[in-house]
Amino acid sequence: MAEALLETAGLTRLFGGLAAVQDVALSVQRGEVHAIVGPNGAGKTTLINLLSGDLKPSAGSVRYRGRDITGWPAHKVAHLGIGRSYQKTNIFRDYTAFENCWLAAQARLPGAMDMLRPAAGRKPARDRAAKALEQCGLADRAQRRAAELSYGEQRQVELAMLLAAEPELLLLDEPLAGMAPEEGAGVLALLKRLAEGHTLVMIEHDMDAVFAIAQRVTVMVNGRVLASGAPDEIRANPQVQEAYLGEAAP
Amino acid sequence: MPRYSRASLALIAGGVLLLALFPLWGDTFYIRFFSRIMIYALFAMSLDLLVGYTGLVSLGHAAFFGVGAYAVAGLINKAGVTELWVVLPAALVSAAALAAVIGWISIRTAGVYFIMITLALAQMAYYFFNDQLYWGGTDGMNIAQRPTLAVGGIALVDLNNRVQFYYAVLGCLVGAFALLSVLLRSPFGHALVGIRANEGRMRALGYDVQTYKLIAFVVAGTLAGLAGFLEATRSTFATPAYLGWHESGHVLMIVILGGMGTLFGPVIGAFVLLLMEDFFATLTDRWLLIEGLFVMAVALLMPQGIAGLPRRIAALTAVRRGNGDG
Amino acid sequence: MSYFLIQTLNGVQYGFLLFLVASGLTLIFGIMGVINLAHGAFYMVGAYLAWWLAERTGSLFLAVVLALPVTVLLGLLIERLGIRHLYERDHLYQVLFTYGLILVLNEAQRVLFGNDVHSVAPPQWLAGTIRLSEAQTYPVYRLFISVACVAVGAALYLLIQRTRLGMVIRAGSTHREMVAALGFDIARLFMAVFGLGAALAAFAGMIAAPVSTVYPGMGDNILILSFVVVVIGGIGSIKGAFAGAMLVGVADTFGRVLLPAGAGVTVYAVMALVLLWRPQGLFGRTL
Repeated sequence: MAEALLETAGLTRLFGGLAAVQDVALSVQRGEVHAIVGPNGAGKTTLINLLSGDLKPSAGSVRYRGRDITGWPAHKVAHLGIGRSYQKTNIFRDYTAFENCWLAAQARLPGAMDMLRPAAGRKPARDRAAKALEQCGLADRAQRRAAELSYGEQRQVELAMLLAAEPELLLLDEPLAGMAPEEGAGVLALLKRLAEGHTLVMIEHDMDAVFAIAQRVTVMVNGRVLASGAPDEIRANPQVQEAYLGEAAP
Repeated sequence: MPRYSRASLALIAGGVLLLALFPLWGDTFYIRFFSRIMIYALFAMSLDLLVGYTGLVSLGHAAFFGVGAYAVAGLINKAGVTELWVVLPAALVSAAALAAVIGWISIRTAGVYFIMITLALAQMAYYFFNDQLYWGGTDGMNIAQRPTLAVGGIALVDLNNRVQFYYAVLGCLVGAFALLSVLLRSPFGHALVGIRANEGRMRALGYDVQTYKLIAFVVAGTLAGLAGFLEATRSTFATPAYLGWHESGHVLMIVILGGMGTLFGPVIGAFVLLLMEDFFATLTDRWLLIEGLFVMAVALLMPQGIAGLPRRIAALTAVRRGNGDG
Repeated sequence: MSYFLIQTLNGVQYGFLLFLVASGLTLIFGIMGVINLAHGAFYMVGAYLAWWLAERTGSLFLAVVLALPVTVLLGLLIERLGIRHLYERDHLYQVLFTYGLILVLNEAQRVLFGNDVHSVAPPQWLAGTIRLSEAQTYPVYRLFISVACVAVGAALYLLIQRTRLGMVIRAGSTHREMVAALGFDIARLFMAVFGLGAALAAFAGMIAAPVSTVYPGMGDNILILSFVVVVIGGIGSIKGAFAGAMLVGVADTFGRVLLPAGAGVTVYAVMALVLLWRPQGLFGRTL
């Protein structure tokens, strides 16, 4: 059995007295699409924040490629090849779609601290940004200010930024949130393409999407892992059905 | 991200040209006055890097200005060293070192804490010079002479000459402008602007935000030290007030009045504010009261400053046109 | 030994005064999100009004009673005309606006009351000294200052913790929109908090006047120190303001006595050390 790409053990995060995430053991294999589902307030976003370094755990550990990265700050985690997208669109509204992706790309390329040469001349970053926008179908909107784009397009910029950094592991927080069906289908198709060659950890509420592309599903309730396994197992699990109170397909 | 339109570039070039030609027909008083204004423009420009581009509101920027001045006073009065090629780097290094220390402590915090801490740490530096008689105490120090620049006994620049000093200051101002422009167009500069826009996202993207901020802080502090060096040379005087928070508030005012986030805004702000101060000082002893009211008005009504006026006017006229004619 | 006792008493008394001023500052910041550089000016206004009214009425007590509402009114006026428009703005503009306000108030003070230093006599019944030991006496008035500050501090604590208004204030500090949505008039609440903050600073200035004298620019020094207190204690925390004020009061007093050359610096050194350990202050929320 190959070593897991990303592994957590006993991962816990407390806010005052409240345990948002409690004792979570997660194992993500290289190349798989791993969905994290659960009712609202289950701690899914907190878990992603712990994995990306946006939050420090109160207890437990996180390992990436066998390396202990517990408590690493977000910028160090990003350089390991772990990228994330946000549930609440977190892009640079005053920049163009292209500039958003450029910033994301440049972060992971050498020369991010170059103080003398003009940024415009740095081809690798420009190329990656263009490629990411292309992949997300935003090539024709590249020069538009992000604030002027539709909500769906902004979500796509969110994704494009993630891609521009060319990560190995993608942490996606509700990538389909708030999208119209056609847009959602487009993003889902993109995610399917990305699944080849990348590892995805995805929070989603859209169960059809989850079952369409996930190889493994982890269900979280009240900060704890309720069950983890193949989609069909999860679907059939009586505890899971109970937790969702009929939300899951019987 | 900073991009100068052709119109802006033309205006800037025109401004520099006017300033360069000024000593040919200006009278001595105004040559000296404009030297002082340009020094403050440089000082304000350095703060704009922090406030307007990186989003760091430092209320203690005067500390670096003052340290630059005291470096001059210290070397010339206490060590008897007057050569420019020693005094100038010493001023820059002193300012940079203090900026590194203050920056390192302050940048661990954010938001209002940062504002308060930069204020408090600058006050610490102020008290250091204010309390020590070695540095002249509250009254400050009269500097024995101006720095000299000579090679083989031949003076290259005579800083006692008002006109030569004016051009030296102008040169520093233009040089700093060029340096900052290059910096802001580089990937480093783009990152600073991104940090101001959305710091959390920058971190998540992989930018080591603390380091970027610290470097910006030190660069800004060093340029403020250059301004302090020039001011000490101009006035032959170093006083603790140069490090005080009134000085910090004053330069912040210049940045915002002129328009922050544009390098030339602070230059405009310096000219407008200092000329205004001079004008009102001739009218009344209580000109600070008028300045205070003016500052309050600017804070409430002109957040974009003077440099932002064209944009505001354009936006207003666009709305008018959009609403249609009667 | 008794010298040490005197200095400790002085330091504690100074700390109590700082606590009043700093708690006003931290309330205004914690609840309204506004940084007010002119807070020290309220201290000065209080002191000047107290001196001026005491000269005219012959009674410091009466002066305080009269001056307090005047200062609160001034605070409310400033909030209504200026601060109100800056709530949603970046702190930068609040800093700038209140910096301008300092200039205006300082100059107004000079115009109205001149550049001289004035002394204020404490009330007769508090003007004596008490015996600490065979060799040492201590001014009664200084003890009174400490007692008055503790009393006001206790009243503030009760207000915040035990009254409905206090509950709304505490809720408003973390959940402004929610409080507004529940029907509370946020505008009125903020006005009240600003007025309260101004009153605390002014009261401190008034009762400190006999000890500190009344002089131009007296607000500036207390402002910086109260900033240090708030930073050390943690923004928005009254507890923190108390802890910070005690620390600063004692550190400053002993600093001046033990290291006259480095007098002003001691307090900032303490602040720097606290921050290196806890960037959010002793009782502040984690950043």
